[in-house]
Amino acid sequence: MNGLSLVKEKSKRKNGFIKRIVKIMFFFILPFLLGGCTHDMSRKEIDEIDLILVVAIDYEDGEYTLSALHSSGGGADPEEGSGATEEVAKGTGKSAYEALEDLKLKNKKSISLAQAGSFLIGEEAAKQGLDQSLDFLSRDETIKMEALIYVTKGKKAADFVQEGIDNKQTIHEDLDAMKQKQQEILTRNDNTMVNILNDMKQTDSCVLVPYLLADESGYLIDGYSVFNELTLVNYLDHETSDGVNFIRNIMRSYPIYLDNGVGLYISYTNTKLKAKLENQQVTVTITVSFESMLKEVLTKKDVFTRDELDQLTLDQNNYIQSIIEKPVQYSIDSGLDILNLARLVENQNFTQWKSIKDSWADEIPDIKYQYKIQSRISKSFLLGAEGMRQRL
Amino acid sequence: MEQVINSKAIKELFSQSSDILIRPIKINQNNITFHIFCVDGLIDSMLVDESIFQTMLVDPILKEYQTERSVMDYLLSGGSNHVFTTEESDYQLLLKTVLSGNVALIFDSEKKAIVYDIKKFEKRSVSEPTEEGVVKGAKEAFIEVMRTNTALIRRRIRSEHLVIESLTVGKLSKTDMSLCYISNIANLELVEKIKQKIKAIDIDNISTPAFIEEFLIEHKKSLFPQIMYTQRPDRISANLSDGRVALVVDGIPFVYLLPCQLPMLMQSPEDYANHFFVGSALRFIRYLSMIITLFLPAFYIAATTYQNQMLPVQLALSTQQAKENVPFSSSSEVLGLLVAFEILIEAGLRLPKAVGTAMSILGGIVVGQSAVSANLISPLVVVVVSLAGISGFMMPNQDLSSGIRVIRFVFAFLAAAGGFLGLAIGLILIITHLCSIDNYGVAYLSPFVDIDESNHKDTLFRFPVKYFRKRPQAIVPSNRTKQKTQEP
Repeated sequence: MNGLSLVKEKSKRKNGFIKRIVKIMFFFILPFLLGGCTHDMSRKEIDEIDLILVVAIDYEDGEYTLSALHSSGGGADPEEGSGATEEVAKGTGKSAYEALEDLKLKNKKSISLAQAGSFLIGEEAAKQGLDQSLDFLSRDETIKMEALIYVTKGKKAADFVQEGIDNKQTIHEDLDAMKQKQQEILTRNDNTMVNILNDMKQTDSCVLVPYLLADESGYLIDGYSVFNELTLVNYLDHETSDGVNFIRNIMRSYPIYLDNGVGLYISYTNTKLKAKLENQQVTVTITVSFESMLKEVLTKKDVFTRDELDQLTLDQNNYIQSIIEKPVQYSIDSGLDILNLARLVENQNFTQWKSIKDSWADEIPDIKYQYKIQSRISKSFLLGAEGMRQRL
Repeated sequence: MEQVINSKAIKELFSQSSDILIRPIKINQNNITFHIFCVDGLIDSMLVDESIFQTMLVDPILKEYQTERSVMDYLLSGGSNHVFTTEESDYQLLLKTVLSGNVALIFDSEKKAIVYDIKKFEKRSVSEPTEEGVVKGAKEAFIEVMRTNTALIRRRIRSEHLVIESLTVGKLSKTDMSLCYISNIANLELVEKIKQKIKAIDIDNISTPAFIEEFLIEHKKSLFPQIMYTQRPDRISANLSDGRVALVVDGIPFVYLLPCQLPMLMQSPEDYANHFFVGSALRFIRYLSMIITLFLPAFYIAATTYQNQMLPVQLALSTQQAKENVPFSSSSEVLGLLVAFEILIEAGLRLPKAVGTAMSILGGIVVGQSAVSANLISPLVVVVVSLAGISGFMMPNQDLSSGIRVIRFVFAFLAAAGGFLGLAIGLILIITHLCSIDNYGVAYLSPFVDIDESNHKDTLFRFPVKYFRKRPQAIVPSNRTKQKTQEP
């Protein structure tokens, strides 16, 4: 190898080495470069931010108020336990977003909505429109899509939170416990951020958001609040809301109390809806099939005979039908599509739907309903039943 | 100029070495004299006396021979009381064989020597493996003596197809090595390739394992081990049956296996000693531990510094409270504690056992308790780093464990720089790197990346033995059947 080729070889090797170094450096520098892309990527230690757990949105005197509940540190002392307390930060503005920015400005630390599990909308804010309260949240990439949305009936959401703090309740934990309890009754929570935002897109139907009641012992979901054209119009009572859950096919379990002193418990239920559109007439068939078990027998009659069991089956069918008829009746009376039938009719009668689409609101009171209720009492727990009947 | 065997020249060569013995011995009335040439301390002197001198003194036939050649022929054809007797005419080979512990009788006029294999030197006895101990299984481990190690292998594979080829490496050390393979199973091209690599080693001394390992691996810059070592003869025999090649090096108390793939390094002898379900569960936990040890510190940094939404609410709150009074950033805490952890490990290894234990306790208390009490680190970081550290020790292979310890730092740095994005970049790089490693023509991630389903029966989970019907395709192209498909 002559001198020139040796130099060339050396220079080639050097270039290769430099290229490799540049490649490695590129990968290490990449995170720093991309770090400035969104504010989510910016570096912030977890103890330098207030993690918002519950957000209360209220409207009063032309202004929105955002009350954000967060846990305030306290440090870790394994022996003394954490001294963490819940605090509320507030911000006001002409819109909910403006209120949030105001809150950010006023709060000592930066805030993060990423851990917020519940959003409470005060009654007045709800009357202003769901979109007014939720629009800015739906555009925040850090918001959990499974965060739950509630309406606080007859109260400002901020008062709801403040009362909880005054009663020394751990609000976010209580709300979480309520969510767990709800999951025992329903197969899914329909009031998640993603579900509500989806429902809001369906302009022909109403949006249903659970409303909360509070007392000193905790919180309770009593039923659904009805939003027509995204504005709060009414609250459904407990039984009507149960009927909605049956029709939505989200009921996991449900107790039945018959007049003859027999108590049953539904352990499985399945609802199917069928919509037929003929000659501008909509007919909806609601088929509910469920299984129940006897939980309480406070009657002298032997309910375990074939005839009595058949009668009990008939009675429980009637009971459930009466529950289901309530939201149906509400829908007929109010002319509001609380059962989300518009989507059903459209999906099952796509071509005919166009003919009634524009007059859908007028069609709602004229919809005909048919009920098919099928049930089975699956477990009777005969042990000791004889003795108990004699005592009765 | 080619050197010939001559006692005078050898005497001159070793004139300054006190352990080399060269003594003239006259054996009969015909003035036939030879020189005994050996290394003091490497020979069995009693056996030398019995096999060589006593025979010569009392043997009446030997006294009659008049030439050196005739004496040599007599001794080589059973005249001495020793079986392992050979004639040597190569000067260099004679030096090598004597320096290895053999005894030579030099016949100057013939320019030849008779070599007696009468080695005896201090060595450890075969004991329990220190690194790969099992509750249920063999308790034998390799020692520093090559021939003992090859005997341990031979004892397990009594097939005529087991080949143990001898090689020598090291210009000064002249270290003996044995390349073991089963001739009708192993890929002979692979054997030849390994042999060529070994022959190409041009180094003075094979004093530590790294000296041989680094010459044999193909991707020298990779932190992932590409040559596997084991202390267990049963493991070697199992891998030889799978078509791999074993390399026994004199002076190294373990045996190398080639080619090596990542899943091999995650296997433990215990997996095959237990019920397949237990073995599979243990192996799965090992893989899980690898993920924990690699990613947990980095995950903690990313979640507490960038994407706190990755943490569940309660964990985020407790993390926040734990970190409230700590003056350092999460990344400093984690990296600092990881360094402290490495210092403790290194210090524990260097110190005598008794002091090491005391230091570990001291280190544990200082780091784990006092540092938390002094608000220097948060308790969660101690948990994270300890869990990552302990999980790292789950690796059955020390080389893999050490490599992962270094990569853990890289991931922590990337997470500190870019959160989960940095972590993702690191993960992509590591997967790309692992996919790019090719070990003697076999993919490093094989059999994970193999198309043939039969290769997957002993990877993430250990299937029942009846499913191990085929040898790995990537290693053994032909003669793949391990067992016939039949139920007892």
